[in-house]
Amino acid sequence: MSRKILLVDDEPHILLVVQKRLEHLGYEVITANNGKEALVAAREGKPDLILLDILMPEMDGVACLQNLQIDKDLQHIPVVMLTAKVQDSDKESAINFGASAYLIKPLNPNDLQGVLGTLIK
Amino acid sequence: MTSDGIKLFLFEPDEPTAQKISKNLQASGLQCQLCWTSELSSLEKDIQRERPDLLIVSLKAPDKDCHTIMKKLCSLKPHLPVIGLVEKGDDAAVREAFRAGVQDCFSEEDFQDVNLLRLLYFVSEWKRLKGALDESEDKFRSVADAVPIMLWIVDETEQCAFVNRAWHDFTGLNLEKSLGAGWLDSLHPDDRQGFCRDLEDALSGQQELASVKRLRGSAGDYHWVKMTGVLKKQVDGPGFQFIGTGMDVSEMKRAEEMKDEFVSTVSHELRTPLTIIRESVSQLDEGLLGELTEPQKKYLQMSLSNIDRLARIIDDILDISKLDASRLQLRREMIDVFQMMEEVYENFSPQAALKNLDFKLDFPNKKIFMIGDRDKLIQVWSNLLVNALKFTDTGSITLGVRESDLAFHFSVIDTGIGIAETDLPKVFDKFQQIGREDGPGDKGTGLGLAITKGIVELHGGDIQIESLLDKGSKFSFEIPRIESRDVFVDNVLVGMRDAQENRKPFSIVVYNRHSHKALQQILQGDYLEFISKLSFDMRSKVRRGMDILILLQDIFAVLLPRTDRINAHRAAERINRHLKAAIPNHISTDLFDGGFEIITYPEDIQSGEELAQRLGW
Repeated sequence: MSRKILLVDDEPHILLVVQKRLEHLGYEVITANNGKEALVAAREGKPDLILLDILMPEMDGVACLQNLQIDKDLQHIPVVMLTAKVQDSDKESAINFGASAYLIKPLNPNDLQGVLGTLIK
Repeated sequence: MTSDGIKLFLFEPDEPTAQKISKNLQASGLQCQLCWTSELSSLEKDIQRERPDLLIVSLKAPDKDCHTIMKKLCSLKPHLPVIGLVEKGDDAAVREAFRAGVQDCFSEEDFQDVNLLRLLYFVSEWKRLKGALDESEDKFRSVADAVPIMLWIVDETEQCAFVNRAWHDFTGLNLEKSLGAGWLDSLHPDDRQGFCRDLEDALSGQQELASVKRLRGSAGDYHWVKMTGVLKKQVDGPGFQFIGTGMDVSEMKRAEEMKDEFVSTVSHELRTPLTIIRESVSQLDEGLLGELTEPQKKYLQMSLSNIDRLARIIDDILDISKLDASRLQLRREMIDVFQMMEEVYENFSPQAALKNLDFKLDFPNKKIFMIGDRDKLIQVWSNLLVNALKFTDTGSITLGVRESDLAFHFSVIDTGIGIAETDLPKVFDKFQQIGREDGPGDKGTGLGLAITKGIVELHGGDIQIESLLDKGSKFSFEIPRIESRDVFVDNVLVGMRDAQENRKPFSIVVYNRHSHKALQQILQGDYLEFISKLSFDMRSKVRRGMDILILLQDIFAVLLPRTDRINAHRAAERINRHLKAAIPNHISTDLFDGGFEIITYPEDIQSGEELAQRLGW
């Protein structure tokens, strides 16, 4: 059974290309456009991992991460940040809030594959 | 010499004595004026009214001792020379008078003829020197007041002796209010202690002072002011004093912040479209969207390598802008140097093999451990190796490592095209692409070596290049050894400053120190290897986020910037789980059951000293 990844980004072209990449790597992909939609999609879709952008309208990635962490049904899902924010402080606060890994755009397909490989057994 | 216009003022309670002195003066034929009073109580007013050039004071006053009288006089006018009148032969009185500050002593019998002449000569010289001094002082004051930069003079006990008009205009504090300790009022309450510490550091190191602190303007708002100061030995005291300047750098700082923000926004804005382009091209190239012809593939690969180059330029510009603003911070940890070098070696050996180069690792037959920022040091190696590979077509590239008592010495030696002597001084400058014009391969960003130098210098080290055209180049850099405690304190101070600037809490998780000592005892000689491996494992587990972990010889702590106590607890629990999982089986994990302590700034501690106290240092 293929593993399911929830991909969250407000940029439709990012969703398009990263979804394609993930599918190529053998994952099933569901998508959401912001943090709010992501919480709904996570509850309904029960993904094995969430790939989360930070800067998004409605609810940003860090707020979404915090909401995921306090939800008993969702807190076990590993979250990987995929973001253009490169400051150490952004990275640190995401990890402090419970993100499992932090990937920086532009995406390196090898890094992505490596992280997914270790986080989804 | 002329005695014209010299005015003497005599305090003598005994009228006959006063008359005798007056007579002697007249008999001498010298042109000078004498005023007299017998009342000590009116002396102050009399001096103010008469403005004499010399004071003659009888120290035989029946109910006052010499000291009390002199003290009163000194408080009246310190720059007026004073002559004491004593009983003839009363050596004790003379001694006491000198101790109290008189310029000379006479008995009334001595007060005539040559002695008078000598005295008047002394007064006229005094007047001349005083005039010159006043003029010089006046000139200094006019200059000091004319410059737009704040000037101040502070002694080593932080007492202010002088401020100029620019200071007055800026702070709204006049000279009177600024003197003594008053000037410290202008510093932001949070910066006062820091500034005094900077003064002490400059004093103890006999260095120039350079400190940027917040100073309150006359409207009550705070500005960032760059304070500099040079140490000078005091003329009239045993200690030193600072001659200092202050320049409002708020605008400069704001402009710098705007530039920083601009660079980081641009870098951020470029990344999303770049991701889309890179992924699209990469997927096309990999054939995910259908088969391609060879020429099509070639063009896509060319695009890909240039997209990656663009991404590198963005990273480099961000790094160099942070280096310029002194905002690039090191995350130091214990590093297994051989393990780090092997990683670098592995990364580059395919490229070296492609060019048929002899790629060598020159490593002593002994494990080496150092404290440094692993990621940044790898960046240094990578920059140097990219360079070496680009300019070397035959021969070898050698990575060298040595350690000495004071430092670690690294080198990259190639047998490439070398650099002309005239170009050597420019090698580490920004946007310099020496020998690039017709060189083969990818073009660089022209920032790599500038960043490399910046990172080495952040580590307190130094980088050099030696090169001969057509023979090759040798880059060597050394990183001084550093105490783990210093690193810890450094990082804590950075965390506190960040917390202060951003008004966010800052937490430190300190692990039970006893368990730490026990671990040291169990592992003995393998301890450093264990620590560096643990540090490395933890980082790869949670990837980049573990930058915050500090695992050093005698401190086992995690710094959590912008984290309050509750979140620090959560983070600590999580880290604890990882720690236990990372510790090899033969070591009891009970060691880490001793728990941890969470110290939060500003709730628990307000300063580095308080933290040291808390940790029992």
